[in-house]
Amino acid sequence: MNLRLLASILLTSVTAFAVAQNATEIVRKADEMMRGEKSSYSEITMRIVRPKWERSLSFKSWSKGTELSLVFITSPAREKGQAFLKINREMWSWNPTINRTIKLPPSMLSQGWMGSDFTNDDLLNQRSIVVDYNHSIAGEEQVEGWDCWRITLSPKPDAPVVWGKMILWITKKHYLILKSEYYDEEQNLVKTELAHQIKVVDGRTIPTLYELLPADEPGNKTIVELNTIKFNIDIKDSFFSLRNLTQVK
Amino acid sequence: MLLSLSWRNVWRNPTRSMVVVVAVALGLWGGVTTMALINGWVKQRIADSIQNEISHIQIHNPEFLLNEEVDKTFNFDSVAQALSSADGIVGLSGRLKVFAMAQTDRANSGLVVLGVKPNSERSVSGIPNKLIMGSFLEGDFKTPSIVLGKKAAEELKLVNYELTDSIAQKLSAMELRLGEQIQPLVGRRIRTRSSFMNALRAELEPALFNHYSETLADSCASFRLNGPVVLTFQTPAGELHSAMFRVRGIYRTSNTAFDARMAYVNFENLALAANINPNYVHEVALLCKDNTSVVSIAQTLSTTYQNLKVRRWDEISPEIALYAAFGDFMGLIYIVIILFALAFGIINTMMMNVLERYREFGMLMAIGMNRLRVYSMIMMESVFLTLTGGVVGIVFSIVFIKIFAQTGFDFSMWAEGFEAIGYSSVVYPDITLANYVLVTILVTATGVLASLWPARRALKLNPMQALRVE
Repeated sequence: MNLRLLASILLTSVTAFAVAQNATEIVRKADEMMRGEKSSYSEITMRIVRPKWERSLSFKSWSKGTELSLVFITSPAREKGQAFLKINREMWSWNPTINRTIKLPPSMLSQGWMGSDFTNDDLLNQRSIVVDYNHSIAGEEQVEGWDCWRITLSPKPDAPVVWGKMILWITKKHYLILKSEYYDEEQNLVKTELAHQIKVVDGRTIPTLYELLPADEPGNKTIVELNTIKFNIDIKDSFFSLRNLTQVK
Repeated sequence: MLLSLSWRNVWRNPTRSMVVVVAVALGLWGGVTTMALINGWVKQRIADSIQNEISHIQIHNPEFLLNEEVDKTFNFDSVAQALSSADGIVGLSGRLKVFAMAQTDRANSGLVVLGVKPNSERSVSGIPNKLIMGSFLEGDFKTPSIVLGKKAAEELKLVNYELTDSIAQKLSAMELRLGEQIQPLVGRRIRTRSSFMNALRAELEPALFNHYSETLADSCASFRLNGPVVLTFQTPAGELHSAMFRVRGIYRTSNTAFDARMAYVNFENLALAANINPNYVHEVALLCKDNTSVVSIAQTLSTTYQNLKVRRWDEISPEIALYAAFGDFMGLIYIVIILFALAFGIINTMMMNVLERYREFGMLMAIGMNRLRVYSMIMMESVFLTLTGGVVGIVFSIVFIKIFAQTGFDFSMWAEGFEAIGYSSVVYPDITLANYVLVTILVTATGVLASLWPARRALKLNPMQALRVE
């Protein structure tokens, strides 16, 4: 009797300890899952939904590490042929209608990329969800049928982040972030990111549909769908050059 | 004798003369007032831009001016000592100038960030006195402070819309029904202007909504002081660095473009974050005693500091110097156009005058008045006629300009458009004595020119034939 009580107390405290230690670990694994491979090729469709209009944009994207990436727009016809190149922290754009390569200045980087809710800044300047926050497991919930940890991220003092809090739902099975909520410092919801349609693609399990919903502007959203994706493709650094920016197809 | 004769001739047909006098007076009143408005406008723009934006003289590392790169600094101590004791310089501020991406929880925007020492900045710039909310950079805080322009704060979505109790009470006092209908909104905080408008539209009846919504939105807007702003900028080593700042104050100038772009932070904070030696600066801004001493001071400075680029305000912002010259010229063009149109009216009147008085001219010539005298008499009549109108018009405009120089001429109906291009919406007309003299000369010249044709007509008369005209 006493032994069993002791055992149960011990066990619960051990699991609690293990869980507390794991929150950061879980986020770190999830972050790695999102970044992952050495190189990739993908075909993506982005739908920008506003209360009064909607448009969609398709593009091909090549990337190598986090430093190099090249994006080529395939539709709509008006924008077809535009390309964007990112090397380290710098970004260039090629516009075939004016036949010019433009280096994007800092002010341009902060505008919405192709009119979406994503900013160029988001693409370039991902502050690490691992380094800048303290993590704690707030519970376990099901999201779209998947068992998830609900993890609360609170920014470390002096960390240069604007959020007051983030909540992530990470699947237990694959360490995928299915849902993230961003809160301001007054704990009001600012935006929600959702991931759906978990599939096995090219040997990796990933969500293939993403949604971004700003909380202040009901009716606005951006939907990103991965149509094709290949990992660890054979691609040289020289592919990511200003020269290739104007020639890529 | 000829003078008084001409003066009396002008008033032989008072109605006809008065028509011309009034036309000239109104034309000149309009012209001179326009001239004064343009002049006052431009002067204000120059004063505002020197005071808030560019100061009298700026000193840079010449390489910084090419691309405004963050590593092109120069040693502040090498110039500060000499400058602060120099004659005619009343203010001196060493600044860091960094291009940064600003991120808040709801938006992003590009900013030019000036790192300044609050005390010295106050001696050069009017911005610390242009705050509409919060305070300037003085005061010790754990997180560094940033002061933003109103437009930038709006773009970064650092605005809340909240209908407070006191506003609601004032509204009830103003219009009872409005106060009642607005009740459900009291105390609610709304993030964007459009959703605030939507909330209003839901509560108010359409007539009240159309009438009050814009004013309500303006008076309910409050800026989120202490709101977080993360600035990302390049360090001299070429790396990107992010640092957290909190909003302490919001300023507003008459130039919206400036408000959208310039942000102020403490010099030490920026130097530390950007990893710049705190003895080095990108820019030194100087304020001189007055606009006239600038040229000579700039001259001396550029010979003293050969390795630095010293620029006057009209070199930093040539478009403003251009406006100054342009403003005077524009006013003159208006007046010349108005006088040209009036000249036809005067010619008409004088012509009627001359045709009516054939018999009289014949008589005058017959009793020995020579042609030159007849000619000058008609010319003087014309000049008197125009000048009377001119004097009345100028007196009117002096009074008008004097009044509006005190109260200001309010264009706030179109304020947004004006302020978008950097002009204040309240204009204080201003005109120099030289301009009045110039206008008087132009009016006299118009009188002379307008009399040429009618007078020539009179000269062609044969006295004997003219006497027989009935």
